[in-house]
Amino acid sequence: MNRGRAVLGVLGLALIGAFGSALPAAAVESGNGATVSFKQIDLERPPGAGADEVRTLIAFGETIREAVSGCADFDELGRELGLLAVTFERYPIERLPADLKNLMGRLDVGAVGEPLESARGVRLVMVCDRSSPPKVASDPAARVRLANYSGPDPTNFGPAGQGGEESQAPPGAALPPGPKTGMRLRAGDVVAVKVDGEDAFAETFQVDRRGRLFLPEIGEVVVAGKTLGEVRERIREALAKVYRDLDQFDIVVRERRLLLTVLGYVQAPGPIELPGDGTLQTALSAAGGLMPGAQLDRLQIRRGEQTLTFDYQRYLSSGDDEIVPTLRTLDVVFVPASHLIGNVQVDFNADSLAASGDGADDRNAIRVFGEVNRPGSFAFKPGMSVVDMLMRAGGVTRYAGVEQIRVIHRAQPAVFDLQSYLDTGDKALIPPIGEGATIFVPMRREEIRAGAHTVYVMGEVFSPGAFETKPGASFLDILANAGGPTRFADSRQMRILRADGTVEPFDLQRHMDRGDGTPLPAIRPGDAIYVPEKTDMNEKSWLKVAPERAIRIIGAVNRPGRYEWSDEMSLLDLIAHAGGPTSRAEISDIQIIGDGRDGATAPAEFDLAAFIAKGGDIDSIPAIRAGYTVIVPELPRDPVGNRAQWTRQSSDRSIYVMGQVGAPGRYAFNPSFSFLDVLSAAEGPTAKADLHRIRISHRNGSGARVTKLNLALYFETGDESLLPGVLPGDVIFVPDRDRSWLEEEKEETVRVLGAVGRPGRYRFSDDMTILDLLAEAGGPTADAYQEKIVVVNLSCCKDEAKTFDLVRFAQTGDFSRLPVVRPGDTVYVPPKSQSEWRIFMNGVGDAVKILSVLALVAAL
Amino acid sequence: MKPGILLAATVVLALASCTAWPEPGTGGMAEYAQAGHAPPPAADDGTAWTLIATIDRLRRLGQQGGLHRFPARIQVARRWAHRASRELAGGLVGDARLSIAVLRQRLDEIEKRLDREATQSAEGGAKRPETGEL
Repeated sequence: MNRGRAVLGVLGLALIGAFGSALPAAAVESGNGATVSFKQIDLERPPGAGADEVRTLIAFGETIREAVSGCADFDELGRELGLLAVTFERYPIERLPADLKNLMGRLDVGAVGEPLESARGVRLVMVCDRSSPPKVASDPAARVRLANYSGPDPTNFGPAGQGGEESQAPPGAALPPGPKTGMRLRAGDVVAVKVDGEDAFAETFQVDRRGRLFLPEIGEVVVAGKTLGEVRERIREALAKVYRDLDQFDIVVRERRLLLTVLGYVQAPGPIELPGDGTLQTALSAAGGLMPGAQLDRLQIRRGEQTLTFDYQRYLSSGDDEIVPTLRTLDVVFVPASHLIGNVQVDFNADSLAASGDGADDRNAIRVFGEVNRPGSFAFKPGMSVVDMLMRAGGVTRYAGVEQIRVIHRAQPAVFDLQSYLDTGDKALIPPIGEGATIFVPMRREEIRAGAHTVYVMGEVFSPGAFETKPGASFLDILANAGGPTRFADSRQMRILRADGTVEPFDLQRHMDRGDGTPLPAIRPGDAIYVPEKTDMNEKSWLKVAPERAIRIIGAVNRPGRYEWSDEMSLLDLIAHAGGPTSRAEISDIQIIGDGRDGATAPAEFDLAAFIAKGGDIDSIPAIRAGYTVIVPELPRDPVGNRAQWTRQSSDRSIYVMGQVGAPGRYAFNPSFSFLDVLSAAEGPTAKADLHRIRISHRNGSGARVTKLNLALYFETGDESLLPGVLPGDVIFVPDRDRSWLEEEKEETVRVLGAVGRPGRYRFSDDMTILDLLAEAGGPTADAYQEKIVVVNLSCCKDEAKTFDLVRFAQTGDFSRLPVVRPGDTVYVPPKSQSEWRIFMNGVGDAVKILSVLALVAAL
Repeated sequence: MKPGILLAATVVLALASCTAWPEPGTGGMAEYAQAGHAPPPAADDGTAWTLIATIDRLRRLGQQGGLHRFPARIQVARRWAHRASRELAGGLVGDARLSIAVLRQRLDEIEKRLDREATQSAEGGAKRPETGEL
């Protein structure tokens, strides 16, 4: 009907639970007068209701009054209507308000009084039991407690309330016999039955958990819930069938004991029996004590259909008896296990579990996790703040991001800056928390720090992260704050990522090694320093070196490949790093291809062989940089045996050797080679080679040029200056000595004609004489006219012919008679028929013949 | 008989005049004569002295390093000197002048090379002699 009332009813239930131990006990032990047990239902008047509404409530109360047929029905009807019937056990009638006192005086047991108007509305009261004042003295302590009773007045309990279903007997000694017929028996009560002369009744009997007594002769008797008078009468009737003399018969309650059941996380769960004044603590002790891991703040007492939950830990810490409900017989005490126990039964480690919080799985507990020393769920207590909870969780760790503590309370997230709070002491910074709040302390690294003075250090440093910089902080300051580069750091390839997006490389190692005063890069807020990982030579993945940091060297080196590059290195460094050139490397024509950054990638060439041989300015070595490709060509194979390799050799790097050499062909050549190198490579001139007339055609000039080489003269004199310079592309021709006469120039030969052994054209040197020439030509024949050997000189200025008398020369040895013979001249050795004497004699003979003819004619 | 004898004599003389031979040549080894310090031939216009001076220059160049540095060029020059000597001794004066001119050209080249080498040596340059055609 009214949810608000239901809520208030729950609160009232708790209050009654709290005070229940005092009020009924006081009622029972009150010796001042009669008591009454009654139930009460309040029909609350809505706020601002008028007289009509009150009348309506009164009419409703009358309807209830007519419908109720007993105390149990009173409770049942209240539940059906959504109202709670508040029960008061043995309340002193004298202490009731006047209207209630009057009403109680008029009502019989089981009757409902007429509706009474109260401050809150209309009240219905039903009397359940009455009792007369005790005639014996009761416990003085109980009297004191009753005198000091200051519990709530039942008239002010409000619309809700709860009381016990049965009266509470006074603890202590046996009840005296007498007219206490109103006391109801219950399970656990120990009664004594007096029957004269019967030993069978000498012992006491206890009401069992089902409310039964087992008596001799009559057997089972259900007594629980019945008044002592009713029980006495019933047993008397039963005994009367067996015994005649029952004058002295009486039944008294000797002791009221508690029959309980303790379940849950205790050492020995099960039914236990306690004295009537047994408490929860004694009950737990009787059950063997609590097991480690018991959830102390949520102990339960199940009473019928009701379950009372209370904080036993709070009782243990305060000693407040009101916290723990008074036990009643047949109560079931249940000790829950902490949620920390988990679903698997293991040995409980109190040290670790206690550190994980005491909040169990209570939804009202506060969960603290993240970078705290003992994360867990913790019970919330009013007045606790976030700081208290952090302390409860053992404080934050050294990794905690104390500026970014997240607090969620009532589904509202908030950020708590503990650092600022500690700096300022401003409690306004502390967000409110309550039951069910969540506190998360993140790691410092998870925090993204950014600000006007933040710089970032990333990569291979010991403590990468964001750092607050100050004016004047240098690159090294920041790097040192980041722990410095690790041993995996490539300190040569550091990068500075500027806030504007530009990237600047920085070579820290070079700066350290050279100490050349190179200024350190200025680091401004917002910049990031990136220290990359060093690339291992054995690194499988070549992708780790970006193209702009790599250089390629291919060809005839021992370890061609792709290497990380630093622009301060030179070509020689690269070649050395690649293992050096192989034995077949052509280091005189190293080719370098650019990266295209400057436009076309025209290959550059470098003659390393010449540089090594002649030396030179180190600056003449071509500068290379990352992205370049260096090619070290390989020398061609043997041109004779592997002609296919020739195609791999460019024409402008070859020299041609032809003619009378051992292995004519095309040879790889560079300007450092000499003529003799080439000739030797071609296995030298053959035996048929004409060393005097070697021709070298120079093809790399602007025009045709042929050099003649007298290699024989070189061999004769050793004059190195004779050897012509040859260049790639030149052609060396070694002619055959026995070449065609057409190839001999007339100015270079002497024609020997006439009566010689081998007339012909002979080469002639100015060192030779006509004697050498005649000897070469086989000498004069026997028919030679040796006295008139004619020499015709090829002269510039006049025709000249001289004779040489070989016979006379032989006779005199006068060298001055040798005629001049030069290349181009002609030597004629006439036959003897050309001698003057012979001609004369022939003439004489002819004349004689003529004269003879004339004489004959004359004679005739 | 007298006219017959006269006729026969005329025929013989006529035939004899038809078989005239050149003059005997000389100078085929004139360099040996010069080596023996023979005086130059008288019948010339100073060519002999020019030749002697040129040969003397050749000798000096040879002594000044040419023989060591450029032996082939000295030898070639010497051959030209031989030719010029022979030509002059053989009466080929015009050819002798041309040969002397060639010889002097060769000597000039040798002298230049020597000077150049001396300069390079002083500057610490390349020591390898220049090469080229003779």
